[in-house]
Amino acid sequence: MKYIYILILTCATISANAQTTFITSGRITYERKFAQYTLMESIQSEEGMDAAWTEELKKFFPKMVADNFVMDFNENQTHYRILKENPDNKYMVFGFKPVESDLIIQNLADESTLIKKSLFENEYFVKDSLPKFEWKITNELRDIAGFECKKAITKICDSVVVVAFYTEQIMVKGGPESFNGLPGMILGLAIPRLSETIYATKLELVAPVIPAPVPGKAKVVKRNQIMVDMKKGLDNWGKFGKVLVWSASL
Amino acid sequence: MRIIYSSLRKGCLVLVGGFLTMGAIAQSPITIKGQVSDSVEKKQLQHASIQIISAKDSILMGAARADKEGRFNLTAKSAGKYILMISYPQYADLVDRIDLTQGQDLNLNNLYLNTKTHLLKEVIVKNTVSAIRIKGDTTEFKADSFRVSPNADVAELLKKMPGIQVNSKGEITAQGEKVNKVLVDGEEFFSDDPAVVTKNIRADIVDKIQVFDKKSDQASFTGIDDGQKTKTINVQLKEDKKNGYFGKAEVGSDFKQYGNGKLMANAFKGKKKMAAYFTQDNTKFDALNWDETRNYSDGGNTNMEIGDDGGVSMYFSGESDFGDNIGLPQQQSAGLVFGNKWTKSSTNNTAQYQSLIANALGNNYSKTILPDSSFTNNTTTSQQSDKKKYKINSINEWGTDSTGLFKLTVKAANVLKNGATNYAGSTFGETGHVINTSSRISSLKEDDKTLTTNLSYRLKFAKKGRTISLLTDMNLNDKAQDGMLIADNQYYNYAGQIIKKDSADQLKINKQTTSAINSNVVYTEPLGKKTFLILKYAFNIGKNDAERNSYDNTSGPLFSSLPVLENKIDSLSNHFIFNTINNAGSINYRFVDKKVNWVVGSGFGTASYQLVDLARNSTRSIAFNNFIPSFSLNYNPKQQRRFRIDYSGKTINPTLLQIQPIIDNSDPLNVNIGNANLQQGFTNSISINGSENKVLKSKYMFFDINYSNTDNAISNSTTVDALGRRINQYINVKGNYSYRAYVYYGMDIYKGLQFGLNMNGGFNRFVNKVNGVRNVNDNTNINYGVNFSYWGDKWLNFYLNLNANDNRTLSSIRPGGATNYWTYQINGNTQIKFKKIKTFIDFNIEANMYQKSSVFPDQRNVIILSPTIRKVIGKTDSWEVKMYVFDMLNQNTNIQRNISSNFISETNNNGIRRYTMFSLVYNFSKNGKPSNMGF
Repeated sequence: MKYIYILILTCATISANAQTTFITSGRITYERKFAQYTLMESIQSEEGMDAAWTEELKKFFPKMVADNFVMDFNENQTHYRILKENPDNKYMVFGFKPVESDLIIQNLADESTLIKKSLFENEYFVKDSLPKFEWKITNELRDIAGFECKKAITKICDSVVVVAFYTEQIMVKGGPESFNGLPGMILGLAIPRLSETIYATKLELVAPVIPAPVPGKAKVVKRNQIMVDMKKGLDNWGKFGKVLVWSASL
Repeated sequence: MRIIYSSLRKGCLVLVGGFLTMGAIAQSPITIKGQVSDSVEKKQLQHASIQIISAKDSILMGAARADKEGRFNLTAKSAGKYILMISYPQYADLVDRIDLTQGQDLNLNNLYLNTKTHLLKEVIVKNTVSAIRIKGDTTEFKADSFRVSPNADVAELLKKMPGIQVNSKGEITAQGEKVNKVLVDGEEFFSDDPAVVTKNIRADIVDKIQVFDKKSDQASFTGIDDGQKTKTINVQLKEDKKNGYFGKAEVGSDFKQYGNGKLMANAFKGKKKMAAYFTQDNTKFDALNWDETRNYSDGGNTNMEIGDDGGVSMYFSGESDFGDNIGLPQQQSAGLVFGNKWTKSSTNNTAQYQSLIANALGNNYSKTILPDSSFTNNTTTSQQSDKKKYKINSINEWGTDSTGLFKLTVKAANVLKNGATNYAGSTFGETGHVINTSSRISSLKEDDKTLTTNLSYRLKFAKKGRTISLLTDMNLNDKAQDGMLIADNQYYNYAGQIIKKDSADQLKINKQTTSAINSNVVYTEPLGKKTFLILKYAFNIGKNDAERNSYDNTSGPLFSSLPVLENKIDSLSNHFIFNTINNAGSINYRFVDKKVNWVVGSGFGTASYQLVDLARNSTRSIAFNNFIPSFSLNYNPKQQRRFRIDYSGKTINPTLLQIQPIIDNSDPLNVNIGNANLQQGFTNSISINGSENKVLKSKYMFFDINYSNTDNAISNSTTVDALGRRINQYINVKGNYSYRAYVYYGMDIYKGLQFGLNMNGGFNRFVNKVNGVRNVNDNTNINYGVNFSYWGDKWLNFYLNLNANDNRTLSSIRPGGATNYWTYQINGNTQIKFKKIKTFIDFNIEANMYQKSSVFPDQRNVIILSPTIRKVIGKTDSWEVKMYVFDMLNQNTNIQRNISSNFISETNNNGIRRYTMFSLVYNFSKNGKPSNMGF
């Protein structure tokens, strides 16, 4: 890998005197975190489950679980996937552990998407148009991985609030998961109702290699099919089912 | 045109957000043009980001970038009010309102951005100093620094704090805004009404008062708010003053013979917990159920297992305090628990008492198949027992996994038993003539003391996968028995004449002390990224000193006689010391990868036994080498699909009692003799299982197939003499094997209604010897099961399991005497909740049906229907009335059938029959509540 310039989170801030760089390609590493106790407790209270069950679970599961994801991008495409499965990660919520074969490609030039996703026993290969989000822009700012980001808010599944932080310094209108459509790259995502955050930790200015995935054994479907299958299968799972549906729709 | 600069953090969109919207209806796009440059150097800003945002709702409507000359070109779909925002790194955003009119393109010409450094020079930084701590958005007051009267409540405390007002209604205003939420320790307390909390908490238990804008619950984790804010006060209590309690009182009666009473409470103070209970019941053997054990006792043995696929199962393994539970119980129990927790350590101590009086009446019918004939046996037994148990447990933990975790458990128990048994039996030949009759009365008084100490240490090293654990336990037991035996046996010839008689009137005094120390060490070392070495070593040492003395009772009256040394019966008295030493080590190699993991290894060891016969001054020693190879493989080809193969081999050592049994004359019709030539056996077991869980299709499949055989299996040889006496000896046999297959398939048939099918079939070949003839017993057992369940949670839950079981047995000594019978079981439960009227109905069914067969002449059907209706009453829902009917059809009996080899038996014991219990329950609590996980 050829490093031209590496910007690392926490300490790196761009000097005001430096020549301003606009970025159009590279690799971003994201850290996806789940505050699983918070999520479990909200499921429990909404389902009227006994707290003792969650208390017992807490003895075996950590409060937070984190996995690293990478996004290779250029002006036309983003390619988002998990960096490496961590077998030691203990996910408290069944079905939340990320899978190495999962992959999301956003083709920003022709507004199409390719998604490989394993959900329980099903493997999907989605070929569809890029989903569109209605972004509400706010005036809040936040520094992520050394980039000044603006906050924007959208909703998925009619009611689930998703908060995104994007930087205009990366001129690619993509983001982690399926999120896109902001004037710059999304470096931070928070989905409070899933107790989930995805924040960029590192940007490498490397020339990305974006391979074209093949469907393999998976059936080729439209995005909507995933929702239809999930809703049908998790119909009587209450709040837990809802959480799984939201997570699958990202 | 007005340009508003955004400062570093706070911009001006809030101001703009308040602008009124204009109902614009337009179709053709409108173009916006402009050129962006630096305000000082007039340099064109290439790649500057230009956005237009709907003024009405801040929705992003269009975005563009400036070209080399700083020019941009943006289109809006429709006319209306917009906000134009232009950004460039290190420059302050340019934000402007624009009004687009249908058919009129907008040219903004030159737009200038200011660098932030330029802007900052003009900002005056103001420093505020405050006596009160401000952490981010939170204002914090230390409670102790505000003087209030001794019994003041939180409301009074709040009044003293700057910026906070409390009015006469208890409504609070902080920093000019009404407070809607008051939290205690960050948690919502009894109610969202602030007045309730502030009036109920005393000021002197408060550590801090925090005032902040509470974001929604999820937002407070992510640190990102979703727009919802409530002015909130958090009352942080002092750690040691968090007090509360909960408990219940229950009485029930059928107004005839049955009744129960319960009183239990749990009080907590910070991390300290104290609980006590008292129960009295003559319908149950167990004093506490699972929920009660967890809330008011030591928690019992709650175990949780996490599967490879993330599935979690939790179960409770309760120990029965007194072993066999038959007959009609009458029990009392009491317990006291004290626990405390610190950051890295905890202690939990329990003292318990239980008393159980049980009267049991039972009869047994059995058949012994011999090569040329058969015997049948009818017995009746009546037992009275009175048992008391005193128990103290202490569980203590220190440390953590990474710095080393110590756990010390000490358990001491004393069990006192007093029992009497009255037994009568007769044996019949094939033609129905009596072969023998026997009757005996025995009594036993036992004092059993146990002390168990268990110390473990566990450490996870910084290097991933390297762990060590050490475990040692010490068990001491002291048992003293004092009893008597009066027996009378008569043997008859074919003509019905008595040919032999023996009788006994003896006193028995037995003593036994056992001590054992078991220690083991397990060490795992990572060899590579995916491979591990697991080393284990175990060392066990034990001593058992057993003394049995029988005396002829010469002094006449029952129960009152003292043993006289001259009357000691030498043939029935003995004193043995058993010493055992076990040494075992094992080495295993484990490979772990994403889809495959396997472990292979073996254990080796020696076991040496020594038997010292003090009465006869002889010593016998015997030693065995043990070999325990094992292999297992897990394969997970995809999510929720797995296969597993296990193999294990194991040496089976004869016990010293099999080689040389203790002589015991309590049952003269069953005599055990030793076998000095008994050899070690070896068992091989292999099992293959797999499962697939289709979550989205709601289908679940599981199978398991296993096979095992034993070479040189230790079996028995029975010789039945003409008098109907059985002489048993352990022998080695060849040809024992068994196999079993289990398949389960479950699916969702209609909106949460689960349906499952299972089949479980097995074959078992067991070889023994009957009257010197090799006997091969083949037992085939096939179970067919169907189950339905529905977990609706709202108002209806139920499950129903139906099982049919086919048993077939054939003994080679009697090829024509095959036994074949079916049993059927039904168990189910339905819960109906009428939440509005706080009424709950529960209906339970348990049915067992046993088909008659050539051996069992009667069809036995036992159907137990037990409905409960429960209603919660009172303003605070603290009272509950309950009506429970047990065994509505009055059919309960305890039947046990056993067909193992050439010996077939059925036992019936009395049990509690129909009763209707009316109960009243009072639940009380303050600051806490019990948890309920049972069903």
